[in-house]
Amino acid sequence: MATEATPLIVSGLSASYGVVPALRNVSLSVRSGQIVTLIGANGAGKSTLIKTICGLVRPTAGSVQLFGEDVTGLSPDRLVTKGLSVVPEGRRLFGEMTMLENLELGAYARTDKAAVKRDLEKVLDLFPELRERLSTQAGTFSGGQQQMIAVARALMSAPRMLLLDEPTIGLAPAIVDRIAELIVRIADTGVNILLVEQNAETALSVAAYAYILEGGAIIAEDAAGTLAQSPEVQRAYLGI
Amino acid sequence: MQTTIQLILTSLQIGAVYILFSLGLTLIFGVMRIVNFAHGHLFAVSALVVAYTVPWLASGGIPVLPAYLLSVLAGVSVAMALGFLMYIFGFRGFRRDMVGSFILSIGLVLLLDGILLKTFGGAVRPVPEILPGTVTILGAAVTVQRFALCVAAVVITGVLYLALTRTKLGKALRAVSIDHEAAMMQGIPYNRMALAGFMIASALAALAGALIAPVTIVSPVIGADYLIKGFIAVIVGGLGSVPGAILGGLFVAAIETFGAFYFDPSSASIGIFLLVIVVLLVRPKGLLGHG
Repeated sequence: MATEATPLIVSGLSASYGVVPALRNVSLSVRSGQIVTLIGANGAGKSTLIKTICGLVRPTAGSVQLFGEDVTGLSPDRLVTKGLSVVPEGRRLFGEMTMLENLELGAYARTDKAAVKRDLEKVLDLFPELRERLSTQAGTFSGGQQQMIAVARALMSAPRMLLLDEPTIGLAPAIVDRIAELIVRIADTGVNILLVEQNAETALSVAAYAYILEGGAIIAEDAAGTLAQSPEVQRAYLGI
Repeated sequence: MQTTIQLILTSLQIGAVYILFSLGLTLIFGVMRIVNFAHGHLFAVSALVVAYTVPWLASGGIPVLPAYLLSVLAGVSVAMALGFLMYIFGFRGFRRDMVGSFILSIGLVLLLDGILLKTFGGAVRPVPEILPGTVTILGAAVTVQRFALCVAAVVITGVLYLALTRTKLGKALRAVSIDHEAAMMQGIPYNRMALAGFMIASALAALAGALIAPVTIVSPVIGADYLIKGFIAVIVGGLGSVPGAILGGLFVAAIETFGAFYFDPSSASIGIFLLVIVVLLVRPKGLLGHG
């Protein structure tokens, strides 16, 4: 759409922990209606990038634009009100609270109660097996179920841009497929998605466009299908 | 049997105040990951204001019960205003900084000790009896005032518990104390939650001070003893845990009361510290702690 601003543009983003640089001049963008993935090995700077985009780490240079607005350095709670939601690495559910409470907190910033209630129904329709267990403590679910709750919680803020930080890590292959299918379904509802993954095979199979992060810098980018065919990517990330 | 009931009632009275204290400490720790050692001064300020205004209002011809209620309002307001200043000019800059906040709160303790002594004088202040008489519970006698103190503490604790489990603010405060970054990612404004938690804790200390004023001897140093016991209660119960603060408060009060009766007060104090050591050896995070 010509009138709608690009959902997410990261330009020249750098960040460091003390004197150790963690991100070097990272630029990427998520175009409207796209699933974009960022692939990288352990320690490539993936989580730092997510934390910098969502305002938990201050960038030393560069900017983040969300739907055409400069949001560099805004705190995560402010970003939620601007349509950005994050599924953090390791899920980070409120383990001692019930699943319903977790989902309610996902909608914390919203005041439109009726719409929140409708969205709760919609989100639960995505996860029929969780519906029966709304009052169960979130920490007692299996890993895959917790990941689904984390995604559901992020959706409760009715985001237009969703960041997913390693949603498939540590999950059984069947569950990984389930999560991948879910990501596609969420994108189909009009949510723009940046999927940060170590699991290149899954990430490249769902994404339209992909970036590869290594040593804190983007070393390659292309359409996901093209990257999946590249010999270097196959050797380094797909184990072929 | 009657002795035991009497001792249990005494434990509940003291425990009620420890609980209000430890709930405040645990709430502040939960949202800010700091310990405010000047928390006892909010309690002292409130008690001192009550101890001064009740006789003053009563001498102006106001009946003692309304005079007391007005004083409670004044005491809680003054203490909360002090809490607000402490937060804005102090702890706001030391959130999630255990060492910095520790140094700050020790400084505040010294500063407030001086200010309270200068303002209110070192003399102890008796508060006139607000609710005369005694009630008998299962053969044990307790003054109406102390009974009312217990009831008020139970009501306050109950209201806080409901607020934390049922309201949006309460759930957000719990979420922040579990994982503040994840909470922010849900749109929960951490800055406002830290202030809210600190002010609710200040209100609890202020209410405890206003409640204890009529049944004890009020002086500027009154907060110190309760702070230490309240702090022990949260360590035993588990920092950051609301049920832990309640359990810890009752535990400490029971050891203090029963120990003082069957042995002597100093043995009871030793017993409390032994309890802390044993609990920390067996469960380093406290009985119900998780953080």
